[in-house]
Amino acid sequence: MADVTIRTLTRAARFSVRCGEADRTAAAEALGVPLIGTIGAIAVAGPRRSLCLGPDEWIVAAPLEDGPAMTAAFAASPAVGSLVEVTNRDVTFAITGPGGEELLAHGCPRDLSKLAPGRGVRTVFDGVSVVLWRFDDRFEMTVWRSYVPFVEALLSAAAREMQAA
Amino acid sequence: MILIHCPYCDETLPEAEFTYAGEAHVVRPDPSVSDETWRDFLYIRSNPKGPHAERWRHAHGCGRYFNAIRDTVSDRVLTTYKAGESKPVLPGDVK
Repeated sequence: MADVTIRTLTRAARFSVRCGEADRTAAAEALGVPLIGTIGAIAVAGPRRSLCLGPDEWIVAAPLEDGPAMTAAFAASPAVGSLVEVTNRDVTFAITGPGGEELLAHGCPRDLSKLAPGRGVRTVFDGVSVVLWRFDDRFEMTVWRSYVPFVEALLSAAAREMQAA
Repeated sequence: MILIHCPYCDETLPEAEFTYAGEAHVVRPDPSVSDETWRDFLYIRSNPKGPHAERWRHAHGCGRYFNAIRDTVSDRVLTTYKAGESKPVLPGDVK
């Protein structure tokens, strides 16, 4: 039986960032976290972190109280791009324990053993678009809030199944 | 399940992350053309038996549109390439 724990994380400030290659460095400076140009790469700067989702798209997460300052810094910076605060759109689950990969395999068609710690992806979990971060000790899965009851029910049912096995 | 290589993510991923978006390389003609030409542009597709150039979108991923050549008989995706690139010549293509 593989052990796994699911918990909902407290709210963090979250931003969707879109900008071209020419503005990437300036945007990263304003937000206080590097924006790496490789899809799947996570950058960490203190409590702030970014994940590259597409050729010109990143998701940035930071402590809730940093949000207003980051918005102001981006507005004041010369970077041309878009910064959309999505703090209230998202709910994040942390999945810890050796059974994390198996648990997520209940809904995610990707081969998660190929997702190395320190990398993340946007993928699908039983039809729901999710952003998955992998760290050394856990997965973090960010889901749009309207899908949360569905995803949560599925995760807890899967965890119970794994426990019963 | 079909496995598709996303040319932007540079990874081979399950079909469930992608959505199909019709035949590729359909060029929009000038609006002054005849009704027949316009009808053909809107509705008439090649529908080949064999390799078919088509658009796909990595909807649950990087979000990008790209083109793929899929064999409609075997359902095997022969190659994929970024949007805007010309259709690659495959071995066995009749010139």
